[in-house]
Amino acid sequence: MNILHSTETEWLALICALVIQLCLILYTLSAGADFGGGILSLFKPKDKALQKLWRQTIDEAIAPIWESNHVWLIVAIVVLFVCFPVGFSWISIGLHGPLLFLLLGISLRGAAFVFAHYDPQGISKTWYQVFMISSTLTPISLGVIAGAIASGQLAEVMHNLMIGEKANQLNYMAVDGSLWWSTWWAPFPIMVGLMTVALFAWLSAIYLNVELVNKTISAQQHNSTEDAETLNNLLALQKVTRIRASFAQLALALSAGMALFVLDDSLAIERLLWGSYAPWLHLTVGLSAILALWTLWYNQAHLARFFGVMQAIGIVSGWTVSSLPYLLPTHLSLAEAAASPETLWATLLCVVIALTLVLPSLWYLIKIFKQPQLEKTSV
Amino acid sequence: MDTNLSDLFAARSQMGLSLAFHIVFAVAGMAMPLLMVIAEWSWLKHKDQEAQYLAKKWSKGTAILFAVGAVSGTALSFELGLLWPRFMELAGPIIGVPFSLEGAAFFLEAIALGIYLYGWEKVSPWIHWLSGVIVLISGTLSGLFIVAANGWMNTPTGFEWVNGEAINVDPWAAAMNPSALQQGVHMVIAAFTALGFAVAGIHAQRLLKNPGIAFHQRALKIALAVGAVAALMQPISGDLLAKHVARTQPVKLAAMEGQWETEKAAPLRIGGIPFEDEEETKYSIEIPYLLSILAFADPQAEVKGLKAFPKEDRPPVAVTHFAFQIMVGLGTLLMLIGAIGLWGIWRRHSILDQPLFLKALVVCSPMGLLALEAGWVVTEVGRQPWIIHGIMRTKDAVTPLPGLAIPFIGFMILYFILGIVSVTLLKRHVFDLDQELGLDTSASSFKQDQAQKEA
Repeated sequence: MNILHSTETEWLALICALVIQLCLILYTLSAGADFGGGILSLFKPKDKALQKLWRQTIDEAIAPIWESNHVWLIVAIVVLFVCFPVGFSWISIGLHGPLLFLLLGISLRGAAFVFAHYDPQGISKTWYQVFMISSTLTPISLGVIAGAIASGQLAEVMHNLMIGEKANQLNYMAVDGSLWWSTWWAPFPIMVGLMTVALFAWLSAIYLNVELVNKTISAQQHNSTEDAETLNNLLALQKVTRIRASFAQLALALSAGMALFVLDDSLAIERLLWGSYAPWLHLTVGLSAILALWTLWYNQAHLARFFGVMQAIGIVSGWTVSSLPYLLPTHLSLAEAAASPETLWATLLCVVIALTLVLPSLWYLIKIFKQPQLEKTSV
Repeated sequence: MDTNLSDLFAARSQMGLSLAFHIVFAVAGMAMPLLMVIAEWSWLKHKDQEAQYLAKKWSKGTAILFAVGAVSGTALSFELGLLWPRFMELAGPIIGVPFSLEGAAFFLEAIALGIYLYGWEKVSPWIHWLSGVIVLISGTLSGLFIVAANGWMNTPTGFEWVNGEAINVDPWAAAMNPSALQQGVHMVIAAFTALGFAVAGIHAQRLLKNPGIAFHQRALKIALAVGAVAALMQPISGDLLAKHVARTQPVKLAAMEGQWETEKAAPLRIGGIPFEDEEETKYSIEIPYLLSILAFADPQAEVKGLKAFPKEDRPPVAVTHFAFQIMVGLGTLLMLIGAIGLWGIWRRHSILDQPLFLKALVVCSPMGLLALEAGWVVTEVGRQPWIIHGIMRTKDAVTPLPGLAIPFIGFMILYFILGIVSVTLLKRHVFDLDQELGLDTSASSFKQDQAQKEA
């Protein structure tokens, strides 16, 4: 897609698509890691004292900001339905099942976390279990949705329902119950689902590692005898976190490879690997993955987090960028799905207003609750 | 055809259930901050520890309500597409502005609430209070924006409708549709009324158990004052809105009033049962001229009746009429109780300690929320059979996917569980609070309370 030779609708649509991509990246980096916290809670260490500290560190990381982290998904959805109404409609009709599962998961998980922590009678075990399980199952549906879009399966099914040339005219008479699964039930989307679980767990583990390193440093500064045990626990937990992180990274690499292996559509494979700017992103992902693991085991928690984040950005962008110029490959292009330029302009203006208000406040929120991290950089 | 009808029914039920559920929690996220900000202000101004304690206790309850509101709101933004994809395809690009701005306002609300709930020890007291004010402002704005989008469904503007397609879309004109502000103001006032009375009722109930506890008295006064002032403002907004509906959606007004015939000097009906087959409203008390006056500020004005519209364009009359009667009846009740309460607060009269008045407040506790739900039934059912008034029918907007009963039942179970657990936890907070009040001896007023209890 050459931006210099494109029409107004085309380049506006591309910018709006980039806004959605940005929201999805930020959702992965923030809410994704919150999901990861729930997943990691399932893989608790054996030692009792460590278990308590493990859960406490995870909860502290999630508590103040999970609701704000969540809004990135809402923003992505709103920009999608305002700017690409037909795309939203295809996704809503075709992926009703996985979306429903996603909603149930999001609702149960958010409510369970609050229910578990705001019970005056102490942390409720049942609700904590609901929180952990829904944290693990919800990312699967997110991945299935992404996978069904990326492989082209969704667009293929929806395209076959079209009456004529227009994407918004579907033959409703031809719809039957099979639409509940025909758009996504295949090995590839399910593998991408597992890959998403691994990615979220990985992100969460490398963030937690930083938190633990910070805690260790402040414990060392206090340096009193009572803290000796805490210090030992913290050091032990750092090791636990690194092992969890490495396993998540391994699972991520395996599921990504498996996903491509089980995809029996050579055009889709070619698009995912070589489409648009995708090769550069794959290169970024591969390099950051290796560097992240390397720095993780060489006690460079902050660098590991940086490379881990780069890796996640590369993965999400690789998915969206490889589809260009399509919104839903390979039957619905961005320009075809886009609303009128007036709407796109209005939305972009709203997005600019929103970001000017939201980003500074978000920065302030994170600064307040993650202060040790900022102090740490000078140590 | 039968399956289509039952799918449509399931979709409408699921949407209604989700909205009705979400609204209760959204209202709390919108109005609780005002109560907390008032209490905290009193702490900052008068160094009154008890007021800070109250703000903290309220903020714990708010955390639960806000979280459930946030997740059910997320679900709603998806359900719009899952259930009504054709509506969203048409409406999305036209009413994108209020939706996008709502996203921004909600984002700010969530951030500021994070600082408010978890930042008591992390930021300075005034910054903390300011974050509460931001929660209040952005929560209210987010409510106004989302109602503006709903207003567009009642009075669609900002596009030209040519051969079943929307052309020359002007998103800003759509955002400023004539119903936006009218409905928005009515909803915001309703939210403060409903929540003020709901909270006042909870504290009244505790005061009936343990009379004279200063903590609950103070909480009751703040909540009651907020609810009462809002309740007294509501008739003005209601009157403006009714006149607006009379002009823009005459068939909705006719259904609200159970008005079948087109007539001049139309009477206002109180109560009554509309019979849709016989096209007549029976057993109502009729006040001559009043409907013409309320709708058009003129006793001789002509009010259009339901018979002036083809049957397929009329909303379900009975439901709309009953819901409207319930809303107005409950609103009037709250207004009266609120007026007594305000007078008691102003004159420092002992009526606020009278068991009878406290019992009345307990009874009124859910009434504001009921009135609010009834009001939404009037708006939504009264707009039927249209999803976008005059443009698109609800049955044409529904998803073609069969088997919609399954998600409906799923959501019913989910919301049932979430509702029960939220209420249980809030109850535990209140009991926990009373225990703390009995034990805590740090503040002098608590000592007195305790002494009173022991005596």
